[in-house]
Amino acid sequence: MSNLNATMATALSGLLADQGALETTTNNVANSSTPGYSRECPVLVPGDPVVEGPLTFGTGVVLQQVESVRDGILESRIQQETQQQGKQDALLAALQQTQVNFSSSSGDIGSAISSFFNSINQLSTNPSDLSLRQGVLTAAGNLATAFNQTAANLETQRTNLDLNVTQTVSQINQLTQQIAQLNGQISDLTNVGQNAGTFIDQRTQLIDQLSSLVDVSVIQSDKSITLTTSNGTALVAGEQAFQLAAQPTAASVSDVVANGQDITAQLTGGKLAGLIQARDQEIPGVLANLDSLASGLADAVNQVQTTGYDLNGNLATGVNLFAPPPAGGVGAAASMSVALTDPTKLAVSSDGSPGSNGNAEAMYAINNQAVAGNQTPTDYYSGIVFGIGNSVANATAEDNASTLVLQQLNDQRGSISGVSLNEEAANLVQYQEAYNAAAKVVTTISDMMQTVINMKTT
Amino acid sequence: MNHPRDVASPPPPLTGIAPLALLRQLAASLEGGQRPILALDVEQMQRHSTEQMRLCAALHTLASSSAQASSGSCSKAAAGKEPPQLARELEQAGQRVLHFGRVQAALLRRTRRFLGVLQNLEVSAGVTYGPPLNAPRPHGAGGGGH
Repeated sequence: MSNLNATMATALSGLLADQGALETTTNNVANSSTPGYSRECPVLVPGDPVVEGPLTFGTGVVLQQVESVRDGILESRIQQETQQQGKQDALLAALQQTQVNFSSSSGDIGSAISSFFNSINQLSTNPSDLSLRQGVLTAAGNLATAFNQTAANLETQRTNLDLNVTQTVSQINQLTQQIAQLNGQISDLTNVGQNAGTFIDQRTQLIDQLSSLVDVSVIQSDKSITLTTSNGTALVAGEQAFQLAAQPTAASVSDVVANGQDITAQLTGGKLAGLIQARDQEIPGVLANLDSLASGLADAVNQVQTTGYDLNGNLATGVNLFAPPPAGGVGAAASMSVALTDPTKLAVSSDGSPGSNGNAEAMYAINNQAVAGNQTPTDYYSGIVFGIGNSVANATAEDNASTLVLQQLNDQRGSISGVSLNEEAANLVQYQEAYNAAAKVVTTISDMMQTVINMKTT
Repeated sequence: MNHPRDVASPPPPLTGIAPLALLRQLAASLEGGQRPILALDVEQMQRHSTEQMRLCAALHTLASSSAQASSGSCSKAAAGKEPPQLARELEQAGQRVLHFGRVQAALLRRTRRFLGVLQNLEVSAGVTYGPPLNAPRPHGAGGGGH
C-alpha cells in the first residue's frame, strides 16, 4: 500500500471528510435562528489501517456520521414542565373568568344580599308603606336574578370549556398523527444509516406542542419512540397513532375516551387536564356552594315569612317570598325566583296589627344567622369569593413557577443544542485549513506522479 | 425587576425597622431565592432561607410586642389607626410576600420531584438481577450433585 495511489486515496479521504464537516458547519450556521434546531457535529473516525509486513499504514479519515447534540433528560424535563404549564395556563384562564362573576359590582350576589336586607330594614321603620313593601319585592327579585345570572354564567363557561376540550382532543389527534408519520421517516433514514437529525428536531418540537396539551411519557427505543399518557394510554407507537375521542355524556359534557376506555379523570397534565379540572371540579364546586347559599337563604326567609301576618292581618301560612328551592338544593341558584307578587302579602307583622314590624325584624335578623355551612349569608358568600381568589393566586404562582423553570431549562437546552456562531466560525476555519492541507497533499502527489511518469518516458 | 440585596452582606440591625420594611425585605429575599432554587445552588438557597427565617422571627417579635401594647387600655385608641397610605402599602407588601412564598413552594415542589427522578435513576442503575459473578456460592446451592 505504500505507493503513490494509496497516498492519493488517503489525501482524498481527507478532502471528502473535510468537505462533509464544512457542509455540517454551514448547515448549523444557516439554522442558527431556526426554532427547535439542534446543532450537528461531524463524527470523524480514522480509516481501517493496512498492515504490510512489519509496517502499518493509515488509510485516511472517514466521516462516519453527522450527529445532533441533544440531552435526553433535559428534553424530558422540558416536556414535563410544559405539561404543567399547559395545565396551569388553562386552569388560571378559567378561574380568572370565574372570578369576574364575583367582583364587587352593583349586580353581584354580595351587593344583592346587602340590598335585600337593607330594604327589609327600611320596611321595618314603616311596615304599612306599600312602596317600601314593593322595594323588598324588587330587592328580592334582584337577589334572585343575581343568583340566576351567576349560575347561568358559570354554566355557559362550563359549556365553553367543554367545547374547548373537544377542540383540544382534535389538536392532540392531529399532532399524534404527525408524530407517527415522522417516526416512520426517522425509522426509514436510520435503517439505511442516514442522519435523521432534522426529522428528530421536528418530532421533538411536535412532542413539546403535544406536551402543552396532554401529559405525555416518551419511551425511546432504538429507532423510534412510543408516546403514552402518564396513566399508560397509548398515543403513538412507532408509525401508528391512537386517536382520542371526545364522547358526549348524559351530563352534557364530553368524556375523553381512548380505545373505548374513559380516561377523563386520569389526565394529569397539559391544557386538557386544566380544562377538565376547571370544568369538572372548580366550577361545579362554586355552583354547589352557590346552591347551598341560595337554598339556605330562601328557606330561612320563607320560614320567617310564613309565620308572620300580611298587611290585611292574615297569617301567611304557605305564602312564600321565594319559590321553595329544589330538594337537596341542587340547582337552587339557577332556579331561584320570587313567588310573591302582591306587596300586601309580605308578612311584616308578628301579631296581625298593621303597625307591627316584629316579623320584618326577624327577617332582617337572618342577615346575622347561619343559613349555609354554619355561616351567615354574607360570610358564606365571602368564603366563596375568598376560595376563588385563593385558587387564582395558587394557579398564578404555579404558572409563574412553570415559566421560570421552563426559561431555565430552555436556556440550558440552548447552551447544549443551540448553535454558537463563534464556535461554528472557529470550526469553519479549522475545516478550511484541513481541506487546504489535504488539497496541497493531492497536488504534491500529483506532481510526484508526473515526475515518475516523466522518468519512465525519458 | 427588584434585585434582592446582597445576602452575603451583614444583615441590617432590626431595631426600629417597621413591619413594612421587614415585609419588603422578605418579599425581596423570596424573589431573590428563586434563581438559586432553579440553579440548585444549595449555598445561596441556605443563605436566603436563613435570612427569611431571621425576617420572620423579627416580624413575629414585632407582632407580639404590638399585641402586648394594644392590650393596654391607653394604647387601644392608637392601635389600628395607621394612615391609609401605610395600610395600603402594608397590604401590598403582604400580598407580595404571599405570592413569592407560593412561587417558592411551587419551585421547591418541582425541584424535589426532579431530585426524586435523579435518585430513582441512580438507584435503578445499580440494580442487579443476580449475585456478582465472583461472589462465593452458598453451600448446597445448585443441583450439581456434589
